[in-house]
Amino acid sequence: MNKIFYTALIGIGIANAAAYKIPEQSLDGMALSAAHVAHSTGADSAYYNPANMAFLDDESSYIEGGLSMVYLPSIDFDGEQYISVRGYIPADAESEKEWAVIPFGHFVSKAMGDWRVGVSITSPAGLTKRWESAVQKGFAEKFYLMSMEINPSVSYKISDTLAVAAGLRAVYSEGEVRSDGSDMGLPFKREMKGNVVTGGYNLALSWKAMPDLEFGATFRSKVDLKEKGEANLYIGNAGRHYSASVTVPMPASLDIAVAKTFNNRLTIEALYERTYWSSYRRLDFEYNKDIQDMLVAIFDKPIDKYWKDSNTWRLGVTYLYSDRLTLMAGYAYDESPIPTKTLGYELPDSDANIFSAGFRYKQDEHLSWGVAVLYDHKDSRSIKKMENEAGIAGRFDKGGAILVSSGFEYKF
Amino acid sequence: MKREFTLLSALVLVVIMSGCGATVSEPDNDKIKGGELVVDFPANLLKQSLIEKGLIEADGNTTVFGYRGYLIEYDTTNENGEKVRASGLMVVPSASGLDKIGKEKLEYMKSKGFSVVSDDHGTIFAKDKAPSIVASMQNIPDGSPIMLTSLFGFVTLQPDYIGFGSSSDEYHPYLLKKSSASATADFIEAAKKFAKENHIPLNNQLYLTGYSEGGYVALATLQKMEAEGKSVTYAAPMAGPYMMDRMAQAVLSMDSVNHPSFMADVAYAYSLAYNKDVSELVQPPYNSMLDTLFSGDMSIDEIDTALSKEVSGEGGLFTDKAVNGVLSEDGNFWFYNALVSNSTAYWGPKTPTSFIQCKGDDVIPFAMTTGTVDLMKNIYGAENVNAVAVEPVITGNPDTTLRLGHSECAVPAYYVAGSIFANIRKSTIGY
Repeated sequence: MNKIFYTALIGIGIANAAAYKIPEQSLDGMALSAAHVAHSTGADSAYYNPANMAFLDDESSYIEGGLSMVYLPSIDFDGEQYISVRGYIPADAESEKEWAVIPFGHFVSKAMGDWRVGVSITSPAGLTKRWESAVQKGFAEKFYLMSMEINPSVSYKISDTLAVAAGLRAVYSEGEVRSDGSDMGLPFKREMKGNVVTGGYNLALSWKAMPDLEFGATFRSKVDLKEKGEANLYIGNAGRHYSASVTVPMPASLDIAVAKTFNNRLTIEALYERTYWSSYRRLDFEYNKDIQDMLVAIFDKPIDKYWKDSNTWRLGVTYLYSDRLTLMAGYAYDESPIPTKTLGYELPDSDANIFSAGFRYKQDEHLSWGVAVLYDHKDSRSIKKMENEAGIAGRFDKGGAILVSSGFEYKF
Repeated sequence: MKREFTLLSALVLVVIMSGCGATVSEPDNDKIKGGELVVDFPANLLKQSLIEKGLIEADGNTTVFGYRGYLIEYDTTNENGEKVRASGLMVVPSASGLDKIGKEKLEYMKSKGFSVVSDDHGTIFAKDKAPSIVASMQNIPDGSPIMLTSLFGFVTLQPDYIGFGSSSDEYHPYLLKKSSASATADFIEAAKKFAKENHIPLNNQLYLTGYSEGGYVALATLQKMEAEGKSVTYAAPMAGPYMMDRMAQAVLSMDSVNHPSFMADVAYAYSLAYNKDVSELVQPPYNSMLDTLFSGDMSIDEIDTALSKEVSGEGGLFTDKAVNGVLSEDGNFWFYNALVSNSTAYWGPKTPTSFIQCKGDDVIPFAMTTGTVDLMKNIYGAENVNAVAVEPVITGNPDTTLRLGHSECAVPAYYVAGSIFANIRKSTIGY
C-alpha cells in the first residue's frame, strides 16, 4: 500500500527539460516556462527565488499546491545498432509512451522582522524511458529516476530593494534500471533498484533596481544521487543477486534574471540559466562482490558520459488582464548537454524549444487558481556510424513532452 | 504557521518512509525440483565462442547444443560412513539458441533419451574451483561439459566431491577410494532422480570418465558400482594414479618434486581418514601448516610455494619413516597399507574400459596406465580393458613423436573419451 500511495503522491519522474532536470515546479513556473526568477510574486518564490519572499506582503502567509500531468510521446528511432561480431543490425523502433503526474507545493511564512521562512516540495529531477523493441530493450528496457526535494529556505531583507536568501535541499530519490538483450540473441539481463536521501543548498539574491525593474540570481548546489539498492544480473535464466549502487548527479545551476514591468500590467522577464552538467562524467554501476566475468564489460564497465555544461534562455510574459485574471506565456530554448558520442537509448535528448501559456484567476482576497500548459518540442537528432560509443547510428525523432498543470494559491 | 510546518513535516516523513523501491527480489531462476538452475547459455553464443577459440570449424556444420547447468545437492557418506550433504553439477543439452536443424536433432535425442556421462574432475585445492561453485559464480559454461554436453550431446554429471561445494566444511578425502566412489555413485543416483522429477529424459546408458584425480575416482566408482551390481555402459578413466602405492613410491624416491602439494595432500587426507598424526608423515614445520594450506582458501601455486620441494632429509617435506615405510613396502606401516587398499588398479572390471592418457604425461607416468591394464588383464582376468594413448589418436599417426604433458593432455583426452562414448551410443541408441 505504501508503494501505491507513494506513486500517487509523487508521480513518476519525467525528462521534459534538458536531460533529466525538471524546472517547472508551480503553476506560474509552468505558464512562464520557469522564467520568473526575478519577478516571482507568490508562494513559489520559495522555490524560484527565495530572496523574493522578502518582498511579499509582510502580514500574509502563502501556500500553493498543484499537480502537473505529463504526457511523453514516443521517440522514433530509425537506424542501426552496432553489436560486437555481428556488426550493424537494423534497429528501427519507437519508445513507449509515458503518462505521469507530478505534485508540487510551496509555502511562505509571514515576515518575522526582516526574516522570512519558506519551504518547497518539488520533483526537480526525473526520467522515465521504456523500450520494448528487441535492440533498445537490450540497453534500456526501463530507465527510471524519480526525485522529491524538500527545500526550506530563509530570506533576509537587507533593504527595501535588496534581499538575500539561503536554503537547504533535502532530496529523496529512487531509481530503477532494467535491460534485457535476449530478444536480440544476447542472453544478458539486469534488474536494479536503488534509492537515496541526500542534500545540498541553494542561494538567492533579489534586487529591485527600480520599482519596475527587478533583477534576480539563484544558485543551486550539485547533489549527487548515489542510488543504493539491489540488482540481479542474469546470463540466460540463471541470475545472481547483488547489493549495488550507481551515482547520477543533479548538477549545480545558476540562474540570472531580469524583469521589467510596464504600466503595472505587463511584465516581461528574461532568464539565463547555466546548468553544470559537466560534472556527469561517467555512469559507474558498483556491486558488493565480483560479478560474472562475462558480464563485466556489459554491466560493470564505467560508461562514459562526459556531458557538457548547458545553456537555457527563458522568456516570460505576464499580463494583468483584469483585477481577477492574469494571463501568462513563456518560451525557452533549452540546450541538450549530451554529446553525440555518449547519447544512449535511456535518454536520447536533444535541443528543445519550449512554449507555454496559462492563466491565474483570483477567486477572492485569499484564493486564486489557474491552469497552464507547456509544449516541449525536441529537435530531431542524427548520429553517424562510428560517432557513438554505444554503437548507435541513426536518427531520433519526435518525443518531447506535453504538460498541463493546475494549481491554487491561498493567501492568509 | 506551526500547523503548516507540522503538516509539511508529516508529509515529508510519510514520503520518505513509504519509499520502498530499493529492493529487487532474488533472481527468478527457473523453478525446478531438487536443484537450482545456475547456467543457461544459448547454443549460438557458445558456438560462436568455440569458433573464435579455434576449437571447432567455422564452417557452421558442427551442431553445438545449448548448455543448462543445474546445481544439485544430495546425501552421501564420508570415509567414516557418516552422512554428508554434498553437491554437484548436472549439465543438460538445451534448445536455447539452436537453429532449426539443431532443434530437430535435439528432439530426436530427447525421444531416445539422453545418455549420461559421469565426469570426475581433477585435483583442485581452492573451494571456488568446484564445478557447481564455478557455475554458480559465473553462470557460464566451463570445463568438460562444454565438450561432453554441447558438442557430444550427453548429460554430464560432475560431483564436487566431499570437501567442496555444499560439503566444504569437511576435509577433502583426496585419493581415498571409499568416499570418492560414494560421492560419485550417490550423485549419479541423485541426478537420475532429479531428471525424472524435472522431465529430463534419460536412457539407461551411463558412461564413467574423469581426468587425473578424476580418473582415479571414476575407476573407484566403477569398482563400487560393479560390486553393487549396477550397470555401467563404458568407462574411460584418464591419467589417474590408480596404483597409489606405486605412485607414492615414485614420488618419495625422488630428491625433489615440482608440485609437493599433491603428495602432501595425500598424507594429510590419509592421516585424517585413518585418525593418525600427520607428523608421522610430514616433517616440521610443514606438518603444522597443512590445516591452513588445505583449508580450501589457497591455490595450488600458493601451496606449492609454502611447502618444501625437497622430498626428504633435512629440510625436506616427508619424514624418514614415511619414505622408508613406503619404499620398503612395510606391511606393518599403516600408511603403506592404506595406499595399497586405496589403489583402484587391483581388480578386474567386467565393464568395457579404456584407460586414456598421453604418453608425454609429466605428472603421472604413462606406465601407470599400461601397468594397470596389464595387471587387470593378466592378474585379475579383465577381458575388456585397453590402454589408449592420446597422441596417436589425435594425430592419426601411430608413430607420432608428439608428446603432451599432463595439463595439455586434458582437452584432447576428453575428446578421445567423448568420441568413444559417442560411437557406442550411435551404434546402440541410434544417434
